[in-house]
Amino acid sequence: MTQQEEPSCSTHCPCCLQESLIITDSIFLDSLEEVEIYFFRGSTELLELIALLSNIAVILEKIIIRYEPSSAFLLSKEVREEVDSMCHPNIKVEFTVLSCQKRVITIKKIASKPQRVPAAAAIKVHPLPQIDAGPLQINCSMATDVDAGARGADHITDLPDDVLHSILARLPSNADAARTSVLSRRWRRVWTGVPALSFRYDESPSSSSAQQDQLDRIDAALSGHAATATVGVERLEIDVPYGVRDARVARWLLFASRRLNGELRVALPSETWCSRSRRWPPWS
Amino acid sequence: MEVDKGKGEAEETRKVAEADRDTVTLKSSDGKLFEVSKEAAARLSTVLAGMIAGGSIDDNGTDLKQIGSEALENVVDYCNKHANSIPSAALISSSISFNTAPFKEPEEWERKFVDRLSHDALFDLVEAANFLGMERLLDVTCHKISEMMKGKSPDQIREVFNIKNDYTKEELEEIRQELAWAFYDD
Repeated sequence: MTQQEEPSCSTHCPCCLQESLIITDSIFLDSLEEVEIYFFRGSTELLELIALLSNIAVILEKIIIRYEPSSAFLLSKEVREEVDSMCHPNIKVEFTVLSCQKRVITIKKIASKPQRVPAAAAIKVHPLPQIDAGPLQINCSMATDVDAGARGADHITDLPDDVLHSILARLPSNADAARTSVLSRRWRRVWTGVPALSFRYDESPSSSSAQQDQLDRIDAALSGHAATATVGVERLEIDVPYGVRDARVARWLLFASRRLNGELRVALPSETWCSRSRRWPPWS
Repeated sequence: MEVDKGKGEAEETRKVAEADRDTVTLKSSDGKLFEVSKEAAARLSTVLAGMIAGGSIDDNGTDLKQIGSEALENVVDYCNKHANSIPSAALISSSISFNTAPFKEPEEWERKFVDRLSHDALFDLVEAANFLGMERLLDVTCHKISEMMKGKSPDQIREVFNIKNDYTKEELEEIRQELAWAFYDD
C-alpha cells in the first residue's frame, strides 16, 4: 500500500460508490476511529471501501463487520483472510453475527428516532482521540491461538463490544455496568451500549429528600448515557414506588424520544396521575 | 469426541457419507476433527445452520480456522450435552420483554459445564460461541463472566481479569465525578 491518498474527497472517495451504501452527510475518512459495517455479504463495493479506509484512515482502530447468520457461508475463510490482509496491522477487524435477538426486541416504536441505521452500511464517526491516548491494541480478534499458557493475559478486553454488552447487561444494575468505565480506556463507553436501562426500586426511601436523591441519580444516569453513548437504548424502564413531579417525568420522556429505539416502561403509583386537577397525558 | 482420522479413513468416510449423514465434521485451527450431530449444530449455531443450509459443509472437516481444538471440543461437548438434556420452557420462549425475565437463566448442567472451565478456556469458548452465532452458549458463558464481576470493586475486577489501568490519575478522578451516580452506595 504505497499509494498516498489525499485526505479530502479524491477520486477514490466512496462518494462514487453506490449512494445507498453510505449514509452520512459529510465525514472525513481520515478522522475515523471506528467503522461498523452492517449486513456484510462480501460484496466488491464493501471490500473496496474497506481497502480505501485502510489506506487513508490513519487513526482507524477497528472495523466491525456484522453479517446475517444466513450470509455466514458467503464469508469463506478466503474472504475473511482477504479482509484481514488488506487492512493495516493496526486495524482490528471483528466479524460478528448480527444477533437475531436485537431485531426481536424492537417491539413498540415510541418515536421515529432510529439511531441504528438499518440500510446496507453505516459509518459511525467518533471524536478524535486525545493526544496522549495509550498504545493501540494490535490484537486481531480472529486469531484465537494466543499463547494459552500465558498467565495474566487480559482476555476480556479483547472481546467484541456485543459480547461485553451482553455480560454487563447481566449485572444487577446499570450502576454496576457504568462503574466498569473506570477499568481502562477501552471500557470508557462500553456500558452505554447495554441495550436496556432499568431503574427499578421496590422500596421507597424513608425521607422525601432521599427520594429526590434517588431520582437525581436516575437523571444523572440518563444524561451521562446521552453524553457518551453512540447507540440508542432498546428498552428503558423506570419503576419507583413514590410520586414524581411532572417535570421530571417530562425529562425522562424527552430522553426516550431522543435515545430510545424500542420499549418504554414508566411505572409510578397511580395517584401520581389521577390526583386533583392533573390529567395525563397532558394533551388529552 | 475427537475423531482424529487418518487420511485414508477420511477418504472412506467421504465416499460413504454425502447426503444422508446426520453428523457434521468440524476442523479446528490446529487441524483436529470433531463430529457433532447435524440437528444440534443447526439448532444451536446460526452460523453452522447457515452453512448446512447453504451446502458449504465439508465432509472432510469444515474448516473453523478461528477456533482452537480445546474450544471446539467444548463447543461440540456442549452441543452433545444439549441434545441429551430435556429442553425446558425457558429455552423455548424467545421474545424478550418487560413481562418476561430479561435473560434465560442457565440450567444446572450448563452452570456445571462452564464452572469446570479454566479462565483461558472460558474466554476461548466465549469467542467460539460468538463466532459460531451460538446464542444460548453465549448466554451461558456471558452469565458466568458476569458472575465473576458481580459485587466486585473496579480494582477487584481488574485483578480477576488482568485488566491494565491505562488512565491517568486525573482522568480517573474526572470519570468518577461524572459517574458519581453509579458510585453511590445504595
